Formats: sequence, structure tokens, C-alpha cells
Amino acid sequence: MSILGKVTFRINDEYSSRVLRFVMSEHLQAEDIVSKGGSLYLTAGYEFKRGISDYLGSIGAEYEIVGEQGTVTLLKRLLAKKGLLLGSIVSLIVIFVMSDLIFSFEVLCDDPQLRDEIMGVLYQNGIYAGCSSSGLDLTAAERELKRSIDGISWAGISIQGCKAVIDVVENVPKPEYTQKRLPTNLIARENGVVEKIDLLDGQLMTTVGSGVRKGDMLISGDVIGDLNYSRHGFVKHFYVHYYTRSLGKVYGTFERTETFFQPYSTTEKTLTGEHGTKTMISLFDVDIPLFFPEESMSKITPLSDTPLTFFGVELPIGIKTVGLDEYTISERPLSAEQAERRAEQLAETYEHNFLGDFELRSREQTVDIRDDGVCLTVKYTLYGVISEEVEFFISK
Amino acid sequence: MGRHREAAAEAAGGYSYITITSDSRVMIEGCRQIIDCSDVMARVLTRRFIVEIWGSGLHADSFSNGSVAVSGRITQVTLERKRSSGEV
Repeated sequence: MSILGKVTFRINDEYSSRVLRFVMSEHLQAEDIVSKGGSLYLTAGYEFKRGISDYLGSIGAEYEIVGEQGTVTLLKRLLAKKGLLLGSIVSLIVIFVMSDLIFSFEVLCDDPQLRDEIMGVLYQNGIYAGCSSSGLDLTAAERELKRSIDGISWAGISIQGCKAVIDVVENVPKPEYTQKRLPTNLIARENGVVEKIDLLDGQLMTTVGSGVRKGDMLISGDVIGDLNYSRHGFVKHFYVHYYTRSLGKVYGTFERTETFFQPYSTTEKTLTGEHGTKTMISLFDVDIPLFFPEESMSKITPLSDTPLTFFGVELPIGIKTVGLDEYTISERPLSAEQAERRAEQLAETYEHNFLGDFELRSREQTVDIRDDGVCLTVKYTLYGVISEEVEFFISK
Repeated sequence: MGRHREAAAEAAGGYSYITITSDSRVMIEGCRQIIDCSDVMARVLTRRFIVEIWGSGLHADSFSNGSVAVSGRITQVTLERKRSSGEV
């Protein structure tokens, strides 16, 4: 009857004829008009409620509204329940506000290390879980991803609801390009004695047993060859001059001296043995801590992650607990023996990292105990490749 | 507004149209007044007749164009010419 709803009146039967005359004279739309039990029942649209009530009041009729239904009635009932109304409004506001936030990330990449790098660059550009998606400059972030990360050649960021999808194209590894167009020489990179030569191309400029200084040419790419040619009893001698890339390896013995210094104190991070836990609420990719940990308890080990489930479906909300080990940072004094031992550890680390490609022929060390620390000087005698390839330009 | 409808009805010959749909509904167009409407009997005044409808479970619906529909289980419809009009 009416989009607003309808109202049912019960009117004393004494006034029924006047009311029915009023309905017809005013051309009111009414339904279910019936007299029974000494009363006239009449149902009209909500928009006529005031007019009919006024008329009934003007003629002094006894009446009662016995039923209301429709949109207006529903709204009135809703307004009467303020908690429900308030909850609905708050929910709408929360939905409106939170629909603008980014809660989760999807990086279309299989390499976990690359994914971490991408997330780090995004964080530096203001894109993180919980940030607003409206003010983001995605183009600048994409450009920064391509510039900062060597492992990708293209990056695209799109916002899909509350999720940021990062699509990247990883670099395709190119085959190593070994052929050089420029001619090269092999020069000595250490002062030493040549012990073995593997020559594939180029002109040898030294001999086994010769001493060379750093920078001396060992194999030259500027080759002058000779060619004998015999015809009709005459021998012709030609000189051939050409440039080539020097190929080969020159092995030799050389010495290297390194100094390692250790002062009489060291900074140490010591675990105290105290343990703690940190509980966080996981909401999509956001971990919201329930308390702020102290500075001295920052060593984190994951303990448990318990997402909520709904009929077997894992929800993006859960409780995450991580363990903390307390530590202290202290300045510890060292004795001379301890400092010497630490200096030797430094030397061992150096040998492991930098001298692995050489054969260690001999090792001589001298310890100098100073006022401020221990100075360990080690003299290495090494055997290995002493040649190094350098390009040169042909002068015209 | 009502005057215009009256004029239109007069121009159409002053007739009222009564449509009976099976035994469940009587539609009266060109109605002037609902005189009475109880469970068993409804009386509706047109320009020239008093339409009396008998039955059970009756109720009336009025429309803004001056039409009235009586619904329920209809058993009898009687037309009584108005005495004051003097026409047959």
C-alpha cells in the first residue's frame, strides 16, 4: 500500500458512517474496512495517519491504533534500541575507516630473501601493514624497488581491498661473458718468484725462476712473431705483429705481511639467563604487541603462533607468542694473554677469509706488547697465482 | 479534485461499473460512499444505486479514484435504485 507502512485504526461503531463518508469524500486509500464486534476497523497508509487522527479527534470519536507495520515502524523500533543503533553506526565507521588500511601483503616471488628485501624497501617508503592506502605514491615505491634491489628488473604494486599485491620480475641470470674485445696483458700482482707458467696465448716476458715485482708484465698481448717462407730455394723471413688477449696463469712464491691489533678491553653481549615472553595479537600481517619490551630483552625466538579457526578454516586473527632472552652489554678488560689470543683469532679469521686460494708455505709471527694493546704481525710465505689480467689500448 | 471526477463521471453518462470476480470480489467504480461494511453484508452507494453485497468474511478496500472493492465469500449482490433520484 505504502512504502512508509500502514496503520490500522479501531473506531467506535457509532462513528463508522461518518468515518466511511470521510474516507470516500477525501478519496483516501484504505483497506480491510470491516465492522465487527461493535467497532469499525480501517487500515490506511502511514501518510494518512495524521489526517485520519485529526478528523477522528475533531468529531470526538473514540479510536485506537491497533496495528502499525512498515518501514517507519521498523525505524522507530530500531531507534528505541540505542545499543543496536550505536553498534551499527560504530561498525559502519570502523568498516569505512579500516577499508582504507592495508593489512596484508602478497609478494609474487618465490625467493624468501628477495621478499624480505622488498618488504624492507616498502617499509622505508611508508608502505607497511596498518598504513593508509589513500596517500601512497605507488609509482615512487615501484621505482625505488627497481632502483634499490638488484635481483629484480620490474616491479608493480596494486592495492586490492586491504591487501597490497607486489608483482616483481626477477632478473634472468645471463651467461658469463668471457670474450673480451680488447687485447690484454698479464701482469704480476705480487712481488715474488715465478715457479710455474701455463701459457695459452700471448708472448711470455719472463722465465721460471725469475723474480718479478708487482706490476711487471708477465705475458704480453702485443705479439711479434716470425714466419719463414721457402720457395725456389730462397728463404724469406717475415715478421708478424698482432694483438691478442693473453691467456694463461703464472704461479709463484710471494710474501705477505699483515698486522692485527687487539686493545686490552672488549665489548661483549652476555646473556643473563633470564627469560621472558612477548604476546602479540596477529591481525593479518600486523603483529600488535600487548606490552612494550625492555631494551635489554630483544633477542627474539618464535615460540608459538595460534590462529583462531572457524569450522576448520583458519582466520587471519590469532595470538602470537615469542620468547625473549635478557642480555647485558658490558666492557670487559683483557689481560695481555687474552688480548694476544684474540689477536691470533683475528689472524686466523683473516687467513680463512683471504688466503684460502693460496698454499701456505710458511708463517712467522711476532708479538708486540704495547701499552694500549697487543700487536700481532704475521709474515706469510704463499704459493699461488700471481698474474692478473689488465687491458691495454692500441696506440694509433 | 473530487469535483473534476464527478464531472468526468457525468460526462460518461453517470454510470457506475460493477465487476464481479467469481464469488470472491466485487469491484464498484464510481462509488460515492460506503454505507456499511460488516462481516456478512456491505452496502455501497453509487450515483443511482445502493449496492448490497451479502456473504461471509467480507471487508472493503477503498481506492483514491473513488472505487471500492468488497472481498470475501460473496453469495448475493443486490441493486436497489435510489428513491430520491426518481429515475428508473
